[in-house]
Amino acid sequence: MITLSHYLILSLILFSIGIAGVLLRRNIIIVLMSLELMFNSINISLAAFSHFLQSMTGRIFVVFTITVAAAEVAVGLAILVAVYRQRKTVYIEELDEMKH
Amino acid sequence: MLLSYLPVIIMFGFVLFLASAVLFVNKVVGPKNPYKEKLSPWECGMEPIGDADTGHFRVHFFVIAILFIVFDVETLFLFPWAVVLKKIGLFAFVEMFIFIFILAIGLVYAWAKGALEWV
Amino acid sequence: MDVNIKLFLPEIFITLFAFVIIGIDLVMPKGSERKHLARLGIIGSLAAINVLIINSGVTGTTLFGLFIQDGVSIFFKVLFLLTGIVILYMAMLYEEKVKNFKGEFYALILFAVLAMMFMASSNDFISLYVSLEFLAVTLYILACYTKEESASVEAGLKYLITGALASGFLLYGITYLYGATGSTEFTSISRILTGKEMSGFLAIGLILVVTGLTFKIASIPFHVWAPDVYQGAPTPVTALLAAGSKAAGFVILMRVMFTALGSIKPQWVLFISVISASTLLLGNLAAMPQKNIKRMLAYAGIGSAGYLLMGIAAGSVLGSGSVMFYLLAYLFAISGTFLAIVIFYNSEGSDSIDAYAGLSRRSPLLAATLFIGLLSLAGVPPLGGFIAKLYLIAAVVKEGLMWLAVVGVLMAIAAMYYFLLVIKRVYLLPPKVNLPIKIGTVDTALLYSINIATLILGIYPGPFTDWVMEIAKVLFRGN
Repeated sequence: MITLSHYLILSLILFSIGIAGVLLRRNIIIVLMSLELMFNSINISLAAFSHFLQSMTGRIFVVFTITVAAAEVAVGLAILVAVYRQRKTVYIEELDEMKH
Repeated sequence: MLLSYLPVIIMFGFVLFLASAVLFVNKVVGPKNPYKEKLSPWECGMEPIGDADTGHFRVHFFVIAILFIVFDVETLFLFPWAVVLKKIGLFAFVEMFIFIFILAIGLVYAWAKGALEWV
Repeated sequence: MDVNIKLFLPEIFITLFAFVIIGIDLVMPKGSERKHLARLGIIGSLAAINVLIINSGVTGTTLFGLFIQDGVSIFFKVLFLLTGIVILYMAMLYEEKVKNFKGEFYALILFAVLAMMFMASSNDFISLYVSLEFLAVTLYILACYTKEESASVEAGLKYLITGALASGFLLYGITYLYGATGSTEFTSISRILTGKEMSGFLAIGLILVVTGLTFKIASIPFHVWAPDVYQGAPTPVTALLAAGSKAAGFVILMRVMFTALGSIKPQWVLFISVISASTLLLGNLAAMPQKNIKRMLAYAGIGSAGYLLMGIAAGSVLGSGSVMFYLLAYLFAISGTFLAIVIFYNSEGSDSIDAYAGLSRRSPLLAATLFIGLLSLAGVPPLGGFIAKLYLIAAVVKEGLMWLAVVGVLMAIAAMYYFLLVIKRVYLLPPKVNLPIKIGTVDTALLYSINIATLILGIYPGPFTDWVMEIAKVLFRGN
């Protein structure tokens, strides 16, 4: 039998992988993918809570989260293209123009 | 419990079989006559610049991908709407068309601004 | 259908004006000047303020409890619209620097104001999250608007990555609060939590939600974006981030902490106090060695977030009223300072603090504006910022958080130091070139009125403080 905690643990694992990806990876495209992973792990736990609490709110929330995440990634990609045109790089540690 | 997954497994096996069978038959029976134009990734249209497997795509593909995301996500709202359309009635119908109309305006705007032009 | 249009009429106004601006921009000839569009936006904001004041008696919730109009939201909406007007004016002065898509620049500023207005009215975690992300996405675009400059796109990208990470934390926290209470609406969460023991889900949710919200207000732990983004973004956008986005962050923080989680206040007071104290220390100490004025103001802004968090930690009517008063004083101080920075930049092309040497001999008005604005930020009597800091410190003392008050007072002295370094350059050092800086008539009028507003808030604060304290009571209706 799969219980609420199974879903929550799965979601936690995916969320941690996402955070690790954002913080550790150098390639910005992979950072954006890790952000998507974070949002989708949250969707899993929202849907699980919604199912086990017998309340619709969580499911409605998932729809909004997906939409907002899509908007965010679209803007992220656009900014990434602008950065690439400027610097010819997609590596995060090469973006250090404003140290002082 | 697990038995209810049996059709899925059968389906999966069938798909795997069919796909490999088609590829195999194609390899054995199909005539082979390769030449340069035929081997290029685009048989018609533009000359390809460099290899596709280096991951270097035209930046413009990103713009089109971004425009696609909008309509990709729109379907997310259309599915639950379609399921309960009869229950909510005319209000939901009009509401969804307003929503689609706003998205369409966005596309027209991007078009008018020249986002779809191949530069 | 639960739709009461009267409650969100000002938002409809702003939306219409923003779309009209985009529409006109589309038919205008390419590359021509777009300053009239900014003027249109200012007119729209003024109209929306009028609508707000006419309908200020109409309060309540609508859209199935997602949207609330009460004293607090009306106060903040007026604040945001005033911010929007100043920012649009600043953007107009800045227009030559924006090479492409000038019309959308103004429209996006209006959209940012719209998003902040929705944030002030959010009464449910769904509307909170959606409006917060609406603001965030708008600001990501605005931060990298001068995309010919590599500092600007770099700022935009850094803002986006930290912002998305923080909103992930916020959303994860919301999930657990939803799991613990079974609701996302603030008043019903408060009702469910009354008299409840702290549970694991609740603790995780609380910590993650507060952590996620620290991004918008630029406090520890999500403060790292502020210096780079403030420095790299176009100056009007920096001002919008400093005055608008921070205030919007605090209005939702107040709604979440007081209205939704007010009944478990003893559990979060220490947590908020520690964030507040560490933010105060970091912001004010790191501001000292800065060479770029926008970067210095970023660290000063982090310090201000620390002060404002003192009001949240107090968790009382006095605390939240002081937060509102601080934000009001902060708006005038920040808009005066940034207006002076934009005018100075247009004439000199530099944001470095050293370039300000001898400004008082070249333009007494700009020097006086910086003098009043920066000293109000530092909290020197008799300016608005002083009264605001006084009230915040009084609020935490009243709740028995003496140590936090001591940190606050010490850091006010530290703030005095680095602001006085700028003032010293402006007034005491000799100028490199002795050309006067030209200031237009409207600029002069605006600078004068902003300075007078800061002075009035400092010399005669009585009516304003009474007003915000009265408004702040709405937040505590749940308990």
